Amino acid sequence: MRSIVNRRAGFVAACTALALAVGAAGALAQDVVQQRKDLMKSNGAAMRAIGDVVKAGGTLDAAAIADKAAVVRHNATKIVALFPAGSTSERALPAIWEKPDEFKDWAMKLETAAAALEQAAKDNKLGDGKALVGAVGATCGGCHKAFQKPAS
Amino acid sequence: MFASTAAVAAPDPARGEYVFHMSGCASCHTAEGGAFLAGGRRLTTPFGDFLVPNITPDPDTGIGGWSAADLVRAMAEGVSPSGGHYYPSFPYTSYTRMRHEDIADLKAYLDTVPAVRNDVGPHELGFPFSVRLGNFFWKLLFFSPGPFVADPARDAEWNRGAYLVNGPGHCGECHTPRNILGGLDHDRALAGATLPEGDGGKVPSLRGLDWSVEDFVWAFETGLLPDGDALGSSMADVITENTSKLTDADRRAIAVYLKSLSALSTD
Repeated sequence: MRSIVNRRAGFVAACTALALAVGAAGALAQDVVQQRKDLMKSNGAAMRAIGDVVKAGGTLDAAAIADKAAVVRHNATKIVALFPAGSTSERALPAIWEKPDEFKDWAMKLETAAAALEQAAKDNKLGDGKALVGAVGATCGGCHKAFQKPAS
Repeated sequence: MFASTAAVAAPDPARGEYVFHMSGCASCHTAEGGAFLAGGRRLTTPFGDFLVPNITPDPDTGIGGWSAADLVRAMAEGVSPSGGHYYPSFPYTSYTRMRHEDIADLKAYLDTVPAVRNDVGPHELGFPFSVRLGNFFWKLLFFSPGPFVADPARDAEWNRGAYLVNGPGHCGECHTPRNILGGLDHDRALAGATLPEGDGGKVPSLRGLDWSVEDFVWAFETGLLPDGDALGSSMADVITENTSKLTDADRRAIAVYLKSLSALSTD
């Protein structure tokens, strides 16, 4: 009797553990999707801030641009890890996992372009800033075209 | 009539390169991973698959054997050198608004790009769309040929913008909704549509956007929207290949024109 109770308790415990594990994995996948959405929002906010500075013209606030470019550069290093196998979401195209090298390459391009903008801002060599910011924007758009389903 | 207009000034390849960026030729005529302008891109539409032709100067598989007048006729009338009527997948419906001098300059530029031998097969269309003669009737219904006519009530900047948007830029080919036969609905010009090829994604309206002129100019130059998001989808290439290579004055003219349109959205 006791052994049956024990066995049953063990079974219940195992089921609970399994359910928790599955739930945790699901939560983790949800987590990573949320994290990458937050990261892209952070990039958007940084590019918006940079855009507002450059669009205003005149003497550019180089320190502000360097700060925001650093955010994008840092974010770029985290992108690939936030798209683990199986972490599908509504606008993430399967190409992300089918062409991982190409995807990684775009993240690298973003890092490089953001770093160039940051360095130019620190060296006070921004010019009107448009070409350098445009290079960052081109990597955003190029990667979205290849790997993000258009908004419907 | 074409020979006379094309002969006004000596065609200039440098100016032609600029016209090339105004006209967005590379977006369709260079295939993903393919040689520059050598064609082969497949446009999948409800009517079938269109295979985009080679426009390098290769005499056999490209347009090396064409005269400037041939290109003018193709772009302004939608008629090939052998007299065939093009499918409107080739946006002559917009290019017809172009100045013939611009097209002659464009031809001078196209003659300078590397010739690539690439025999692109015929379009793969289902019946009845496979019958090319149908294009003749389609044109009677939906094609109004003729160059852009400036509006004297508007200033030069607005008119330049209107020319770029409605002529070479052929923005309406994606941003204007189409009827069931693929004709553009000019009453709802630029009011947003469904992409005519590929995944049929939504194309937004350009009318009544709450953007400043600077916001437009910025988006055309960097591909970044006012909220910091990036233009993706087919617009990513439009930015890098075309609008980012225009002068600031032209980007501004486009912005001024678009901002003057009354708000309208197809949705």
